[in-house]
Amino acid sequence: MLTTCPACADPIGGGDDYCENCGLRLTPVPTEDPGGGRDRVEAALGPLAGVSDIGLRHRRNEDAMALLTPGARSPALVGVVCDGVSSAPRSDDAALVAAETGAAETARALREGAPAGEAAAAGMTRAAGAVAALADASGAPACTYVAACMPEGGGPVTVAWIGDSRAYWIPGAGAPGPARLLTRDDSWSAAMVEGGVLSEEEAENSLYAHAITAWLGADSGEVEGHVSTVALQGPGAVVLCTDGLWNYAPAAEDLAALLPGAERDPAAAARAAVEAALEAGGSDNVTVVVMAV
Amino acid sequence: MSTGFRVGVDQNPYLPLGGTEVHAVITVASQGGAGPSAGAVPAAPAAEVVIVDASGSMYGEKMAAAKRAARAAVDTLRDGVHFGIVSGTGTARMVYPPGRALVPAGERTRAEARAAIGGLEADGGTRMGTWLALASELFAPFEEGALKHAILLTDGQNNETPEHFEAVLRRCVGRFVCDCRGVGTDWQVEEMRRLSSALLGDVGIIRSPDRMAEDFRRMTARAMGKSTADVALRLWTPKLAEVRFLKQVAPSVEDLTGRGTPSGPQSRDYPLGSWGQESREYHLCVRVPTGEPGRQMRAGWVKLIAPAADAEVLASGNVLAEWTEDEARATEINPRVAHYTGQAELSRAIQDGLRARREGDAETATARLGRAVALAHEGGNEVTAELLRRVVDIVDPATGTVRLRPAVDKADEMTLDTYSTRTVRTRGRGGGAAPGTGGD
Repeated sequence: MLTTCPACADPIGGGDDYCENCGLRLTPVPTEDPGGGRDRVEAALGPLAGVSDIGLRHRRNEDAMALLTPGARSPALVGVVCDGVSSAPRSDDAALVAAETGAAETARALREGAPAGEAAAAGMTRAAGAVAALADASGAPACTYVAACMPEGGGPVTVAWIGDSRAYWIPGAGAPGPARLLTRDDSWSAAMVEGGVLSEEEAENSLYAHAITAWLGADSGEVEGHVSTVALQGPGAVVLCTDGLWNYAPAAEDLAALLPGAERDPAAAARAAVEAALEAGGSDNVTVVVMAV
Repeated sequence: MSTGFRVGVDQNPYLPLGGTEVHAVITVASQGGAGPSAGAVPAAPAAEVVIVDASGSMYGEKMAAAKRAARAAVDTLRDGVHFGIVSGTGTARMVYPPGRALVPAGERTRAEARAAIGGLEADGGTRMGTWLALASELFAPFEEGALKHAILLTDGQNNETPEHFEAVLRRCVGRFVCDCRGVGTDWQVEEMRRLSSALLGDVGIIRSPDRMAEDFRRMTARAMGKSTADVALRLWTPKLAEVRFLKQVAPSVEDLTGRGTPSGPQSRDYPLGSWGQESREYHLCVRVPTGEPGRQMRAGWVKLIAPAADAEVLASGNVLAEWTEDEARATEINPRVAHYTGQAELSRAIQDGLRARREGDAETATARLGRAVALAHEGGNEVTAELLRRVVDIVDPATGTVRLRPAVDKADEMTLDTYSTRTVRTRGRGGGAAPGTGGD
């Protein structure tokens, strides 16, 4: 333990990473993230873990995530993933505000006894308000939103979403049924496929494949999010992710293969999935949250 | 714990060997009202004073509009907000209430104020120092942390010695926020900008008297929408470092460098005024002693401080520096820093250009306004570009090749001048595409 600053010899007070006199950094920092920012964020809270990474092509991580595990603040596991719309200004702020607000509000509503579906909807609505409030003369920051919550000790999982960030169910060893997508994108291509206008392949190769038709932001009009509660037979994991991951493996079975053992070690699975996205090109920010069921 | 405030720092912390200048864009965002009830504006103690120029030149249509505007402001006040109306000439006089103490807004006081405003008459000179002194006296009983806002309406130049005016202005700094409005074209933009800038407000031109009431209503509503008064930015810098500048760069350019007061060892407080649900950005430049490769340091520690009584830290952020031999990393300019450097230069170029134009220096005016056109083009300042187009003929916006227009509407020139400090924020990488093309 240092007692004086190696640069200016000033005595060092406790509790701060920098010399209070000359500003020298006293503890080593990961060199990849000198701005103290969001280039790489990892969180591991037992059954809930997440990794958010800037990827290889972008200069800023406009994804964000928020995780809550049962405790004073929350009676349930709550995970939220948001993807800032890069054509809108300050969308990194939008994603962060939406994720944190959504998780906190969902937990608050659950604490007050609201049913999971209502709580998830309340979280999304409050997140929408918080993102809309970021708008000013320069424009309206915008982001996607996908959240999952599950009571402590298991039970049905409630998913809420708007935009094209996704939730998947990945069954573990011995669980019945295949991996499946739990959300439906609010995207141009999904609408085209649903309407029978284009085949899935045509839609995904279209210029507009990534255009989303709904998002959180002051310019989105009335927010019409989706909420769905599903009973899932574990062991397994619910995976929330941005398109930075699922672009490389849109089909549920393919995506499941990127997160082996997710139900046993959510943190390792989230890291493995992000690693896979980076190896495949890392063309977008990538964020993965894994909730063991 | 959520205080409703957030601080974000955007910078390239890498410096080349021998490098000493650290730049960062600091974003401060407030949700307006702390905690879970965010969105609902808490009933913070608030006071509003409307100062109407009642000099002789206001006679007629301008005074009639001013009366409507003052009434609109009174109508917009929340119940319980203390308020008063002042008429300004060679002296300052209470229009309402009759005594020199503000009264809470309510049905009765609003009706009385409306009636009293009817008695305003245009007759006399213009000594703004006396107006501000009365406003300052009216705000004095309100403690720190209360929202104190004034609107000053004028149509002419100040008629007192600069020494006297500056002395009064200095005494008013930090005591209340004042937005200034000029009606007609006989007032001086630079003079009003000096006043509003010192008092953390803005300046605007009211080109047509019939717009005045709406403008007053908007200003009052905005003032009522603030929920935290007297916020300060506390900046710590390392020993031997020097704050080269601290500028607000969005929503408008305001140089705060000289406004810091010492608040501790190596630390100064810069007043940021009242905050509602909004975000503002600041460009900080600190000069530090150079370091060896790999050395990492904190070049600035930014904290947002609540009004003095509790001095609670609402949010904080670090401005960092690290020396590297990697030339490419060290020379990369953070896009937001680059953007706001351009925006600050744009503001200066317009003001320099217009001053040169007034002084008959066509060469400087053409060069500076041309530079402004190029910067507005590059920065995406569409409104500013349109306003410039009324003062110069644009040959090539990208290079800033322009010709001065021989005849320019004075109101157009003044609008451009008042608008010169407004900036646009950085856009996402996607540029001008409509939101909805997500994820990219």
